[in-house]
Amino acid sequence: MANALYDSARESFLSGNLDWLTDNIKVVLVEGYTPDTATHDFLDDVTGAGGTLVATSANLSNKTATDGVADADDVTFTEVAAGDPCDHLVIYKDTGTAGTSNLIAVIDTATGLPLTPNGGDVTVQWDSGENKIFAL
Amino acid sequence: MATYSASSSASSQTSPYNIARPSGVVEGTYMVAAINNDAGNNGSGIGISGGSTWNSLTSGLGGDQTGYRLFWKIAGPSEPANYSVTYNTASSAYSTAHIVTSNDAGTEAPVWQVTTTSGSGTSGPTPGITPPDATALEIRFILAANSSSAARTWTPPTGLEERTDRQESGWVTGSSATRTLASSSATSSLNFTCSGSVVDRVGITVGVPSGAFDQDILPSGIATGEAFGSPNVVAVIGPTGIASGEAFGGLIISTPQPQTIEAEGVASGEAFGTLTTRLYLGPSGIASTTVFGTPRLAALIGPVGIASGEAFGSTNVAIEQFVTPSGIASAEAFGAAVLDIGYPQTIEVVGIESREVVEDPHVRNLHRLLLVNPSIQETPAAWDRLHVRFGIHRGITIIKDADGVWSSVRYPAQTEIEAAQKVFLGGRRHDITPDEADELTDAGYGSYITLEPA
Repeated sequence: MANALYDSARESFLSGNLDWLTDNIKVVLVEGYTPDTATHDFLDDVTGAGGTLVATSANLSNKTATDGVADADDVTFTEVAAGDPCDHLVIYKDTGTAGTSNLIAVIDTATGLPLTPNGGDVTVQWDSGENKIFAL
Repeated sequence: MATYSASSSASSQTSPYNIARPSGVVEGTYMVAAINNDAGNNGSGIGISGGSTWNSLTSGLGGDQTGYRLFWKIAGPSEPANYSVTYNTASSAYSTAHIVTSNDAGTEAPVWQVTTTSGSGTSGPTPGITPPDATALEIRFILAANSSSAARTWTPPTGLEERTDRQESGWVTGSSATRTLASSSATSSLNFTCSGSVVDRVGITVGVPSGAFDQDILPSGIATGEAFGSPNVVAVIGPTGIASGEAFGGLIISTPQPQTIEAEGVASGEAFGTLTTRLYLGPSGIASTTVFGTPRLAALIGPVGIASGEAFGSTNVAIEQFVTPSGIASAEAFGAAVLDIGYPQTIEVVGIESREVVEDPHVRNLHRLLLVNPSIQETPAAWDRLHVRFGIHRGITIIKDADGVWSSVRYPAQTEIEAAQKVFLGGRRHDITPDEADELTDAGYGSYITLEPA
């Protein structure tokens, strides 16, 4: 698999249920998850598919959507407890409830992934290329 | 991930002796030291000092000869250039010391295992461990004594890299090797190999935990969806940019390929039979009261062929004739047909009784000349306006006026008569001379009639 947007996210962006700029968007470091971008639509699908939410970021800041390209400041997970290797980053809209938090994108291809937390900070540096975090 | 940073080693026949601080040691550097001596002195007598406190992990005696001790510490803010090693020199014991460091290890105490192998041999077994984490630094030490003063060197186990290899005068020897683990799974026993036989070997394996250093993840941006469905309409509308002032450019519409419109079939239950279109020409019937306009029949005249040599008179050709029957009245009663003849016809109006017919005067030549004056029928005269009409005859007077001009006058005036050279009153018979007769006939009045004697 490669980095991908969830189908439900595309639908939600088109139907107005997702607003990159105003919604609370977070990133979670996941261990043991088997993604299915065609059927997974909410955060509880991640845990339902074997995923463990190892570390969750704060809301993304300084988000932009220029030319349909999503971008934001880099994310730092602080002092992630040492544990098993994490294979995925999942971007989602945080509603406070896993069952209603829309999945947006899953990332499994990155320099540094898989990552075995060692107790230190983990920083996600978004791509500075034309697609930034993702492009619609 | 805990990785190897640096190492140092030393050996001596005396105690204390120095071992150099490995390069790159800074505050926080993880340091592990393994020291041995021979001559049957237990390792509990071994010590190392300098800088922050060295913590003893284990010590003992392998076989009869090899005493050993294992230390670790986190480097403090002020580490000496050399550390001091002490050991029990009884029985002329010798010693080697080995320090291995890591600058990205954790702060917890390492895990360790010791294996001792008594007797002589070239194999230097080291035990396996359960590492503290998946990326721990594994350090393996082999320490041994030698039964002779021959020099010995070590070859590390496969997969590990040798860091130190030290002997002292051939009587005591030791080596270290490291690798960074890729999982937290337990490791296996591995053997160093010595260049010659050694005795009472002590193998020590240490697991140094990974440090909580910062890590980075650099994901690749997710490109746009890319996969589009097949468009049904491939027309492309490419308007040129709208200039200021709202002046529109020309639209370009291209249809790269024809399109097919397929109507959906009629669902079951709505099956239609075959449509048949028939054309009927059905003039309305003629009502019994219908009155037709005037029909025309064209007639052709076919003259009989004319034989050669015949002289033609005037030919009247009927160019066009029409039979124009009267309209067919209801009940099919035909009116009288009227034949129109195309060429001009002479219309003789009969019965205009006002016609003036002047009979010619006659000059009779029977022994004498007698002028019979012409007369005219004066009509109409009505006896009864409604029923009886009749005409009367009146004579025409012939006058030769003073100028010698002859004229006929119906109602001569008296003055005309008086002025005339000759007057022959109408309605009477006049005896005339032959000259008069010639004069009259020359003037157009009358002609000679020769009367035969009776």
